[in-house]
Amino acid sequence: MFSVWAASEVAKKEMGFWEMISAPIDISENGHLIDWLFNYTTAMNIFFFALVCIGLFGFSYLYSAKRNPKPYYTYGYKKNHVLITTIIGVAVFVAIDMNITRMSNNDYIGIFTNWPSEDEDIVRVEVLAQQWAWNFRYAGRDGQFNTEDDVVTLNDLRLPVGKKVVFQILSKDVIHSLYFPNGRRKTDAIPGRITRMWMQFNETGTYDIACAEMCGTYHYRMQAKLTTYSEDDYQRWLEESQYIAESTIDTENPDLFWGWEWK
Amino acid sequence: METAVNNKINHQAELQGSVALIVALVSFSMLFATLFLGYSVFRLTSDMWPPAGMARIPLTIPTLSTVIVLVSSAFAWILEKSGYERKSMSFYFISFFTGIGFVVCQFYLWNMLKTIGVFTNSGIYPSMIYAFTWIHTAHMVLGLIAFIYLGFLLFKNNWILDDSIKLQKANSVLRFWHFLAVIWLMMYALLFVL
Amino acid sequence: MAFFEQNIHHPPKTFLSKYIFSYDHKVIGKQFLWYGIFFLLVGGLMALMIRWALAYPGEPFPVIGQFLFPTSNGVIPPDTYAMLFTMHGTIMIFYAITPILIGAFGNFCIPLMIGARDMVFPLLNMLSFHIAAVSGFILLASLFVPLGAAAGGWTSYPTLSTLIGSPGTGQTLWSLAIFVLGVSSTMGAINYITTIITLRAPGMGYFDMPLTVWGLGLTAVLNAIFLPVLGAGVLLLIFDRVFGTTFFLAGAAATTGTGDPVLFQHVFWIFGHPEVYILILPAWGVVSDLLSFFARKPAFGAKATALSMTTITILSTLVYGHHMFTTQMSPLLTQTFMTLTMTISIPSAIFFANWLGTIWKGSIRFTSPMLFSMGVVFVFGLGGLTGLYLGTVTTDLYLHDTYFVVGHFHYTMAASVLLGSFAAVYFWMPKMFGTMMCEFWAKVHFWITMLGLNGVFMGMLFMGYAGMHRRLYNPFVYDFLNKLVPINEFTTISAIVMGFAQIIFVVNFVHAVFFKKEKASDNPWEVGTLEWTIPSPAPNYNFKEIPVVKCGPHELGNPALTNGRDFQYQTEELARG
Repeated sequence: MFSVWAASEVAKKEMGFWEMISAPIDISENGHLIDWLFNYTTAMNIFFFALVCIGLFGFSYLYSAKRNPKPYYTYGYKKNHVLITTIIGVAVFVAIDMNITRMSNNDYIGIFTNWPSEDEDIVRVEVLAQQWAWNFRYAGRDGQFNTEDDVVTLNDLRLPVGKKVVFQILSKDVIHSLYFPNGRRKTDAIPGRITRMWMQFNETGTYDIACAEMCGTYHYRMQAKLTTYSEDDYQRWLEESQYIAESTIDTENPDLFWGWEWK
Repeated sequence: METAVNNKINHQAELQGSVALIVALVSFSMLFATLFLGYSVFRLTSDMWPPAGMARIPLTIPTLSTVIVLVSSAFAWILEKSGYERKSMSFYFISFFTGIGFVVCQFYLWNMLKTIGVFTNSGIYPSMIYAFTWIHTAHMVLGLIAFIYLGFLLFKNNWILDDSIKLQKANSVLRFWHFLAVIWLMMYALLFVL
Repeated sequence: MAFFEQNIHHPPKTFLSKYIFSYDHKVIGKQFLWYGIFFLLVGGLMALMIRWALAYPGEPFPVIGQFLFPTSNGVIPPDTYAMLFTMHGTIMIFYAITPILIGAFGNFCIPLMIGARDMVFPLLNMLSFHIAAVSGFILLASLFVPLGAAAGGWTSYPTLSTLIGSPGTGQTLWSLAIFVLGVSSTMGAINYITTIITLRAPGMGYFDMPLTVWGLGLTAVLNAIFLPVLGAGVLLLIFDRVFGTTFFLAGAAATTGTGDPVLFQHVFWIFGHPEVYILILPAWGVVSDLLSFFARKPAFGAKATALSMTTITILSTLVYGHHMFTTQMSPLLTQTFMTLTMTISIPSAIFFANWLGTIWKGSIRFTSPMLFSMGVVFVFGLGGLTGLYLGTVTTDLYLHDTYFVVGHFHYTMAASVLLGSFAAVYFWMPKMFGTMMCEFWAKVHFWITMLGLNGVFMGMLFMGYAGMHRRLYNPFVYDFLNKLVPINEFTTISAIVMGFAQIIFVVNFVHAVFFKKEKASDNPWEVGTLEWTIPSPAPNYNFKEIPVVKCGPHELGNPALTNGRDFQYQTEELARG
């Protein structure tokens, strides 16, 4: 036990405590909105929880039976008592709840569910979740899904930076959840019902994609990689994959055509 | 003095009986409300009802069930109004046996569904009909058991329910019976007719 | 005022009628207490196994690992891991917390605190325990069937919980056990509500009831209304599994179906969100009372606390959608659910203010029940505030299904409810079993538990913010989670510390129940509610004469009192100076 403890101490020294518990690096265009809201809520929570602690520990110290043998006999229905209680109730609601509800609503309606219009230059990806893998489908040269020139990848999502990406997500068997830790987002993949998500990535690199919804024994292994390229690199990769896809497709196999018409 | 105490006891027993019955009926209705909620979700979100390739269930047997359950409920009501006297014994038996008739009818319904090719695993529409009727029939069986209990109560007391605790018990059984009839009416209207 | 002469029970003669098939609400309460403590230990052991697997993946579980998992040489296999967290959640929520707080203390406290000789329907009460016992038996049996127990999480979302995802009988037995337990709890709820409405002692209005009874009563209302909803859900799940209906099957999973797996989530959370309050309301009631009793002054704004609890009860039925933000409801629904969720913080803030107002200018006696109650204020503060992130839709998009959620609901449901239950056990021990538990070891138990649970659940919050998602057998297959090895170890060590602290409690409890010679006095805590006007332990008829209530439950520290006491019984006329 001690050696474990010591090892963890060592590990902590290598990486600062704050660094360890901070969220993964944000590579998306709008992730900072979520981070900002989180930090705002945290600041407000710390303030109000500090008040609770001051009350709890302060009163415990000041009014212990030893220090204060005669309690103050009150039901708390005096005018100023009711007033203070009400003020606390309203203060919490105004300072935290109303603000975060408003901001969150604005973000959600204004950005996260404000779908890019069809004529914008966007990347479209169809995602099919299954036990325990992620299938990704790009429309290919003809812009139509579920045709012979589609680029299909397994557990390997490649996207350009600086462009809006729209996902349509479906599940084959059980409920999964497409989770981008670095994009601060997740959306459930549900059998029989297409869900949508749009994001824009700003940094190139390789990142993790996970399944966030319990989906069976190997839920923890349902992992995919996200590779973000610059626009040029992405085009190069897409063309190369397009070529490979067209030359290797087995048109006789209906299992390969799991895609659906873009909705 | 004694009558005052007795009145109090009677009042108390009525109160307890009705509070408990109300809570119990709220629980039962929530169970059915959940089913109706699920049904309306499917019903309202699907383009076609019954779904493509499904025939409507012929109304004969459900209508028969409806008539039977209404008769049963009506005689139960008369039984209650008559004050559970010995001369209303026939009402008890009519109500009880029509109740059994209803359960038998449900078995005919399931048989009929099988013969016209509606199986439990052929989609959401039959699933709904089967699940609703299974759960409702299970409750009807519970209701019949309560009816047998009511019979014991009546015969043991020679058809004289003079204290309000017994009267309360008898009334509760019948109210549960009416409740099940109302649920069946809703099912008949929503599942079969509409 | 509803009132009539209730019969005095004759004491039962045989062992069976006294301890097994007893109609006495106090005995049924004790049965539920033992039942709950047994399952608490089972669920706790499962928690330790889960934590062990997370901190030391691939290492054999110490001591009993070789015996439990012989095929994998003591290492917890991934499928067993899924069963462990499923059963841990189910057992803790339905078989540990519910029996202890609602079954044990609901049965024990309600009649005693409102001055009744028993519940309205003793037979129903007895059946309610035995049905719960059957349910517990089914659940334990499901651990030993081929392919193992249910493994779809305690929420058991379809289609994972249908035959597609879990073909074994374990999941069917799980659903059956939950349904049977629901029947038992609904029966209990009918009894509680009727008892509270009709058997209050003469003179006792609703606001003269202790807040514990308020909490338990509101819980019973929620139970009676929403357990049948879950009942319907699991029934349909059983139909899907056994009879081949297709309620929750869709897409390629269903050959002919056009069902909808999301329907189950709706049904589950219509029940599930009230369930959270079903668990916490009794703890709130107990804490509100105990803070007043041990601060030796009346509960601050008791009416406001009672009404806040009622408001929360009503609101809790309207907010369930915040569990499903990631399934993409329409933005309008999202907005509505978020706003409604946020309004819960008004009543919550009010009774937090009232709790602090109660200890303000009090004369606090730091007994073990008081320490645990103050612990509840602390941990529930953390639990409630972390809920804000999850009720907010955009932060929820990131935090949903991460350990942040796990930390949050463990703070509210596990930490608060557990500490509240311990407070109740320590407090009512003399009235239940006639002996006091050792104060010193109770305080040791409190401090170690407090340190342990904050270590565990704070650790979970941090992990969740760092992005670690739930129900992972081995989180370290992900690069971005590799940095979390130390904090996982820390959390596991905290959990082990907390687990071992419970041995102190069990030893203390068993010692006080069976071996302690020294009897407790009738009113060791010097409080005035009705259960303390009768001998300890409570005689089997409770009250020789039905008491007549003349003042509220929290009459402490009244300066007009002259008889050398600083409290007065509810049967006494309010002292006026």
